[in-house]
Amino acid sequence: MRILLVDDDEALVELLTKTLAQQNYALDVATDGEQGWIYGSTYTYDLIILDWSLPKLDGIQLCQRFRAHDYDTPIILLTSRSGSQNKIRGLDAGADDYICKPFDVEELAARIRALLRRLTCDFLPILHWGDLKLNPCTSEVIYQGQSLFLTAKEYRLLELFLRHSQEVFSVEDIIDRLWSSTEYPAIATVRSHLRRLRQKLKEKGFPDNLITTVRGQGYCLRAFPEDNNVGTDERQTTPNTASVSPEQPNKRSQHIAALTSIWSKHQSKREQQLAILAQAIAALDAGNLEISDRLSAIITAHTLAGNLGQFGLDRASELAKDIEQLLQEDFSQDSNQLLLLSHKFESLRQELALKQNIVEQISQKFADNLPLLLIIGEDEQFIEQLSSEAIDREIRTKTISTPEKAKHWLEEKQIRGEQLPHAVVLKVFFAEDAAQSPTKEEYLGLIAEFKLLTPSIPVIVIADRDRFEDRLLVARHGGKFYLTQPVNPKQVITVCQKAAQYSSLDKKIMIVDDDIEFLQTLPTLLKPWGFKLTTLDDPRQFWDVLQAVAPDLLVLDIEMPHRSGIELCKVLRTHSYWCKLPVLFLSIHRDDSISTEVFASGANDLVIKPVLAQQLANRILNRLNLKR
Amino acid sequence: MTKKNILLIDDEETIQEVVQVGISIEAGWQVEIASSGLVGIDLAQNHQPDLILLDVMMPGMDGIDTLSHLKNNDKTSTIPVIFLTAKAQAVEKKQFQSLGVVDVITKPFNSMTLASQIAKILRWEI
Repeated sequence: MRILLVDDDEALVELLTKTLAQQNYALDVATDGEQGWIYGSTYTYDLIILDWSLPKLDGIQLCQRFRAHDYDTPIILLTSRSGSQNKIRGLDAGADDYICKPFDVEELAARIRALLRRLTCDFLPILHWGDLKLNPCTSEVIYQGQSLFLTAKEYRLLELFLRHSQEVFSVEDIIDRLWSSTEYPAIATVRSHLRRLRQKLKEKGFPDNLITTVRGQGYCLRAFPEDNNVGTDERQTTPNTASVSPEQPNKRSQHIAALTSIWSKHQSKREQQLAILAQAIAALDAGNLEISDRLSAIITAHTLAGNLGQFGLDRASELAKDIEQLLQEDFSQDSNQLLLLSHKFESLRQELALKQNIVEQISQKFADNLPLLLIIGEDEQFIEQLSSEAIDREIRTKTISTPEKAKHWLEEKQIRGEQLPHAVVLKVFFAEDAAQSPTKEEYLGLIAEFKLLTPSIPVIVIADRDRFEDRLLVARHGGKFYLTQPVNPKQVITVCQKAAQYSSLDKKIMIVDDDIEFLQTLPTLLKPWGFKLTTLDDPRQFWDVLQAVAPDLLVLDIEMPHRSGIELCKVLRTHSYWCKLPVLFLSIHRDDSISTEVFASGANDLVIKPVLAQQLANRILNRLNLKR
Repeated sequence: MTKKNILLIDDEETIQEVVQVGISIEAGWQVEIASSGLVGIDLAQNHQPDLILLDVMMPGMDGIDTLSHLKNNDKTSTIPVIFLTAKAQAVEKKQFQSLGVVDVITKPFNSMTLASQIAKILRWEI
């Protein structure tokens, strides 16, 4: 991985150069802001470390300049300025992390690793490829339980391919990524490192070339073989994507068969339930329904509604719910109600008689609940492969050939209030062709359409080539991932699952604040983002509610009766499970000393009240790592 | 992957079977059944399940009373509880959550995704 360090403190530069080299990073050093800009805008870096105080252009200005030019490289700001106002200024300038001097070099290294993991969307600290494991924390490579001794360059090569498993790297790309700008290795040198790495892997019993040659283009990581290990391996790297297991189609038929059997088993019970309802309606009509019988009929209708829904009979379930509701009403006031009740009951009976093919109903119900992937593009063969892979992983697909049709489809879905896709795959051709229709601008415009939705829908671009300017265009329009062909459909679907997984939808946010009025407004304010909110106005219940809710992020007010937010945060940080939970503080104070105390307690962010919904949602999304 | 033990407290036989099938096929977890709140409290105390799925509307001791007993008992107070209910209004959900349940799953639920829904709520791996 390649890092740019912009700092004029010679002693620190020397220390970091030594430490980061030991950890297998290639480092370029710039000693003033303008030089930093020249390096950063000329070469591709995986991460930039900036000192705040720099000659010519300070770290804040440089950071802002990078962001203004759409460079999304992670930035860590180093400074001797403590105090939360400074931190806020640094983070608002576009930095991803902030470390106060003097700092522990090991902590800086850990923060670098954390940011690099976020960059590759690989949230686990260890990189895997089957039984091969690379641990960036210890620079250790293990294959089938045995350590592999690699030189620094071999290690960096392996790490590069494991981190960017979907990309093809030319020798020039590899030099750009792994060698600092002051080194000029020959192409033969790079090939020699690659050859030695392959040889070492082979000697350890590795089945075949992990890094394969793509004729005329470069090298890429071989796709993991589609054998019985695939499911296990992918579950390790994406713990929450339970749907990756290839066993699922079998599971599905097994599941449908089991439900069908339950349905058949309870056939006579359903008939009894219908009979109870028929008797109750007849007695109501005759004006002699006993209260106990009415109660029994209400419970029967309630049970029926729940059970029918379990088997995909949604309309029948709704009718049973209506009957339950109607049975609770006073019929002496309105005779039409009894007519309506009889009509609903007859409809229920007919609905059940019509739905004899229960297997079809159950299958349909399952299909409706599967995640939806929208695939846009004209490459029929590729789209077919992608759809097939998606179906194997229990993902529904919708295929649309042009951006115009996709736009129209999206509008229709929105008007009808129907479910929108969880992720979008967009196949874009960047290669020059004046006659190309639709144009790449039309494709890029579509990315923004999905990005601007609230919550936004991640767009994964599959491009025909890998050029920085194309990536920049996609990033500018809000694309989530950029993959270059040739790409394995399995990898594309995995990336889509990851992208959809980090959507704001259903993320659990717990907010503790004694201001009840503020708490009451939050569900409405934050509704567009689809968070699942839990609000608590009594901090004495904090621990119980925290354990019960298991939130993805916690928002704490500073001043509360009985327990302050700072105390709660300190307690949280002592707990092995909760110590890493993102915590965002709310405060009415702009006071530096309070802000310092907040961050010292272990807070990740601080928002000053009054809070705007958009601002709070953005800060939450940032802390949940959802924006980059 | 750890094999989880789930206790389902629900009086309705169809739901018992659907949950059992769904969870065991999809996640391989074990499901123990209690047809009433009282039996459920007893099983929870003695078997210490990893999770209790609790129906809200049951004859006799309903889900809310059962939850109150579970939360007031030292042996069961820390076991996470998820309510199963046909009552799905947002206000009711919120009221339920304030009682100390981890989450609320609305009936009818999709038995194919029930296990992953639970795993997501409790951050378990499947």
